[in-house]
Amino acid sequence: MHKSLSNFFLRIDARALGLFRIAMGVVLIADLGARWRWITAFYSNLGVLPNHNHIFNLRETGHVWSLLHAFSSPDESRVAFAFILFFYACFLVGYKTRAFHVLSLIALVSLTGRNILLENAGNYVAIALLAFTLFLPTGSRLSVDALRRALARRDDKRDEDLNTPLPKLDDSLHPVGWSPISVAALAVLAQLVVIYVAMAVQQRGASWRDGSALYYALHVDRWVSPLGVQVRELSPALLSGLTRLLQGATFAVPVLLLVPVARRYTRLAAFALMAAYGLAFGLLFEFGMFGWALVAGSFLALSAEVFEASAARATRRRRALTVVYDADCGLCLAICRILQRLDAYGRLTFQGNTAIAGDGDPTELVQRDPSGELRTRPMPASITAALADSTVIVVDERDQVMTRGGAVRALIGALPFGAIAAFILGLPVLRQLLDLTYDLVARNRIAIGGLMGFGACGVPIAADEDEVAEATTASPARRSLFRFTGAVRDLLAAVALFAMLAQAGRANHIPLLDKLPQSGFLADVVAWPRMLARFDVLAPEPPRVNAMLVIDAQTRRGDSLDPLTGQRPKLDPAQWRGSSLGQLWGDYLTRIHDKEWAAFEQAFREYINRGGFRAEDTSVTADDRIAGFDAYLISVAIPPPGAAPTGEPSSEKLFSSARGGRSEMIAFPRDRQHFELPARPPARQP
Amino acid sequence: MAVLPWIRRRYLELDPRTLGVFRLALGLLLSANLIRHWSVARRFYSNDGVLSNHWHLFRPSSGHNFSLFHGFSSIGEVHVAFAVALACHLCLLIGYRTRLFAVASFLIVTSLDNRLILVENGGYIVVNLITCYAMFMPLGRRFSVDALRRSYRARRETTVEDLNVRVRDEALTAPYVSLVSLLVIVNLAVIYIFNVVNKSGTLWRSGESVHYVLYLNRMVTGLAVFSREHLPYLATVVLTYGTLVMEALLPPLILSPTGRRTTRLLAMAIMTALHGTFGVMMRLGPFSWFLIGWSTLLLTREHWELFTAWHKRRSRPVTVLLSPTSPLAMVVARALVRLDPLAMLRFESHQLGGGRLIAARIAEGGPLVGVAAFDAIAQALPLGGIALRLVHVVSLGQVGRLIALVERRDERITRFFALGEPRWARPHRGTSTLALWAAAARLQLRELLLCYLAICAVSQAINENKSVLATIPVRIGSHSFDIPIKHEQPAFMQATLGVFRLYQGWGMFAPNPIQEDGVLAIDARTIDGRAIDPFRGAPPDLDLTDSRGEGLSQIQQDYENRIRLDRNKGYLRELERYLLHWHEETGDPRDQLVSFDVYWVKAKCPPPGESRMRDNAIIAILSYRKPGYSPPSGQPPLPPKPALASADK
Repeated sequence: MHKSLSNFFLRIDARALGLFRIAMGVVLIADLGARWRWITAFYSNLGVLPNHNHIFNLRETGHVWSLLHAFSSPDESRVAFAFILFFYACFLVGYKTRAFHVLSLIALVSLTGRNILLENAGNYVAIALLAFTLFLPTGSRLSVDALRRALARRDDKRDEDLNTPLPKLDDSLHPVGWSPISVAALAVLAQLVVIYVAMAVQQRGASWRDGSALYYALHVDRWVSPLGVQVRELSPALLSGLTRLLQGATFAVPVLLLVPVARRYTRLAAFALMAAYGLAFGLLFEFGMFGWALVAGSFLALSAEVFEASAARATRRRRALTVVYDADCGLCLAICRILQRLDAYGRLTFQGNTAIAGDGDPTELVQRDPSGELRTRPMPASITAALADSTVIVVDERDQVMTRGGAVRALIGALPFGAIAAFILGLPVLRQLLDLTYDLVARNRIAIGGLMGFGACGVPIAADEDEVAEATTASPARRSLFRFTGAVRDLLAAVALFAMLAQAGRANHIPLLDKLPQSGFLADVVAWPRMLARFDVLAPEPPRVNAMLVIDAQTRRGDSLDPLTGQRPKLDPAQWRGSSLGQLWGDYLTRIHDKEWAAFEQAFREYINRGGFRAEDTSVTADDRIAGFDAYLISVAIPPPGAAPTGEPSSEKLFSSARGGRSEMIAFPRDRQHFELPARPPARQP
Repeated sequence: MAVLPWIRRRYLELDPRTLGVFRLALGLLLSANLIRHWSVARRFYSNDGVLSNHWHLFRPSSGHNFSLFHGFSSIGEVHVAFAVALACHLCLLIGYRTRLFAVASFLIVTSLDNRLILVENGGYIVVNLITCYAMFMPLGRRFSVDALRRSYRARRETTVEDLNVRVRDEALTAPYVSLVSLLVIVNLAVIYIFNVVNKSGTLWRSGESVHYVLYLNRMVTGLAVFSREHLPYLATVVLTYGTLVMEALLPPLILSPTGRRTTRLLAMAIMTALHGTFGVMMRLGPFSWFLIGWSTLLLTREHWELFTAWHKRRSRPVTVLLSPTSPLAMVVARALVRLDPLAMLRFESHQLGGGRLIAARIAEGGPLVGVAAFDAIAQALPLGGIALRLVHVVSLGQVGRLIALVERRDERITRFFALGEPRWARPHRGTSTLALWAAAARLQLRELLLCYLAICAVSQAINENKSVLATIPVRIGSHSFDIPIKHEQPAFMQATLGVFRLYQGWGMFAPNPIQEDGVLAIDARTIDGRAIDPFRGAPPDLDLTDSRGEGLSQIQQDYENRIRLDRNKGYLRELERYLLHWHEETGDPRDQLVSFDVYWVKAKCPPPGESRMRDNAIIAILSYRKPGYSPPSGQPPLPPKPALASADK
């Protein structure tokens, strides 16, 4: 019972960690892509916040660190971004995972800290998940590291090697699939719970109670996505149902994550709800990483029971395949070795073509029975020596013989997560392309194998006589080191966990947690990496006013221009169909006119005066340069669900420069009525 | 056809052992240099200091100014940055993942330099250059953790016979051939060529230079003060000419294609003597010590053969007797094999009584055990004698007891580390053709990059050194025209040289040493009425004539010398901010400054025959009075505000 509970609360399955790593890697790369588009605007000294200005403005508050502050020009920043992309890509594929996990975390913290007007709950979620999983072996499965480690353990040379699973190793030897019982796993679980509890606690406004929250949220153009624009046209009843679903998820997920019974079902349900919740936010809104990081985090909810049930089902449906490969071909053997490591369900049996392609007649086929044992049966008659010499052959239980591209598809389909890839490769055109590619490689397999050092075709690969068997148990010294590093890891994770709980309690007013003491040290632990844990998304409720900051600039020629979009300024809310600028500008423009960020406004004005997004464009003629601009906060009340738009838009001129913009374009009365923007993110400091 | 091998043998090869020694020297020097900067991190590298990162980013002191240290603001952040930097240098020192940490070290030294260019001198450029070249050398091939790991992976001795078969690994002894070998040698020679050529002033010709240099109180050490007070003038004249002669001798000695065994050793000796003297007499920062470190690259294969022969002559071969039943003894023996490149040890299996694991036998003598065996074995290893003394000192003379303890616990140690079990090795399939192609491509790329760096260096040396003519007049028949020598560099080359500060202007104390000494003096008043100079922590001293050396570090003295210049006026407001917050650094609220005047205090060095500085002058470059403040009764009044002037001249 105790062990079972430990496994539940203190261990995250290595496969879940691997899936999280892949999903998070994709999220990070997509986020970097979104930032790259605005590299000059947000990450260079030609943009809205030069590095010196940022550091100077933060000089008293501190607790903001970014290595990107060292990079000034757009080109320097591009170099830095290229390095970050490299770190993320290595983390995604799981190459030297621990090192690139650390570097990815540093990169994300640096991206966040370089311009804190851009950060939102998405950054906090992503950083927190990356930070807590740093203590766990995210590269233990589904990674290049795991594959390399598995390949390095045995130099398979014969069919017997390929058909024998690798012996199990002691945990202290960090075998593939290893994941420790650790406080870090509890911290990850706690972080996921806190995110949803924080939202459940804070989303208590009237619109959440009456089910109109999603309706109102989707009508805020500065953050609604193109898909959200379509969805907001759905019937209010449907949107109300979706609202209830989202709200229900925030209550259900923590419970499902923590209930230690019927784990297979509760955790699967938690995963599904978290993924759906994240997808809803990711697809309907421009909240940066928020929704997508939640989707990535949802994989961490998958328990070993879920994977084991899935594996058992896959095993029951085992479609045993025998791979007849060219035993004299180094490249073929190398591919078989990789397939053997990836064959998590034990479906594949490997059989060299020596006996078939030799002088003797084809004899017997080796294949696994439903229990996984190797059995022999007569070789299908269609398999001839000539065929075995010309192509890889895959034979299934019903003696169906597949060759060339078909064999490749069958093999990919037999691997975990391979069915979709196999289906895609089976589509017309792709199928033919695969056959052509196979033929090309097969024809040149000797040359390719030789080139890659896999041994020459026709030369049987001999076994090493003096090979020492791999030790499957660790020495006492190794085990002591394992325990010591585990203790250090758990101590660090415990400190980070306590710091996170205290911070989340304060930032989100979570009962009980907000009473936890938060010393200066604990505040530092979460503040420096920007783990500020403010999960106040759409809380207490979405605004009922649709407001947007619009720049109306005038070129020297007299043309009207929005220097952020390069199009004519959309001063009439009726023209708004979401913002094409994305989350970064959304958060930036929401904050820049706030008093709290007044010190940052001057740099923004200078950016606009330099031409906005055209600041780097040397082809801009003198007539097209900005001669002046006005910045307006334009607002319009969102009509209640089902009601027709009635409210008149209003505008507030926030600031003006030089000749100002073409203000006569504003067709509605400008009564300087001031709208408070609800749900404006509060001060960033803990 | 024989020219290329001739050039290759003399200028394109570096011995892996030389590279190993150079790495040890470089790692040690980089670590020491970093610690030197770390010790003044608060004042010079944090936002609590004299130049905040945001101000430097806003007003960079050079074009292409890039420093990773700009990303670190508070003193806490800066400490973290320095700690990481030190870890990188130490990894380079021990040769752990050498290439990676060589690159990291290069980024760190150039970043450190770029963060505070105000204190840069020729020494910093030397550091940048040599660390840049180090990236292109296989520094971890010998005397490194990497080499040790590689060796353990390559050979798994399990028997005494295995131990006695010494496989000669070509990679460990084959010379490293690359353009970088030529670059480091030629660049070293170029430093001395320009140092000599640029010293064209009258003081060098009259032999007075050393006399004047010894009176630069801003940068001299106590030893220099002692020397100037006790050395006869004639000795300083001899030293002046001696310096010129030595510097002039160095280029031919370094570049000589023949007699390299002698010329290079002589060059190393001269460089060590010359820079060792500079280093102990003057506070010039890294210049002297890094050039001594650079000189280790002058060691050739002949020198190593000389050393091998010398060691073999003076050491006696030792037979190491190993207990056949002890896996621990085999582990020790495997380590000894790796420390014994000259094969002075031979191993035998021998039943040793009394629980002994290892014994030693010299010639036909009886077996030595315990500490005697340890000493005998150590003496047979290269530099073992020195290591032996070190071990005895560190262990407080308890080596014998330690050996006895290990021997008593042999079984437990063996069990704990599972030494008795056969070791599994990861299968190794050898190097593929593709990998060889990739290696060849990397090599080509490396040499191309070095070609580019060489072009940059030549271009920079031409442009930066005043002794190089701007144009060369040519006359052909009745036509005359000028061939331009100094030239405009392409933008990318400027960026390469600027970002990494790989400059080539060499002219220390050239054309003449300065004859006017100067330091900053801050006449500040604290809120409790004390007069204090925050830089010195003592009452302000506005008289340089009685100075017997100011005792300033290189960083402090170069900062003081540069901040007075008109081109650095923009940084005075940062000095003002620092002084206004000085009491936060001391932690004493009574140190809060209510007024201060920053003076450039200068005086002329005494001419030969005299010993006292003269013509003391003070120039105020910054002044502050707390608005509305007047001292309470009982405290002296604030001094009148001085007129500010330029201290550039």
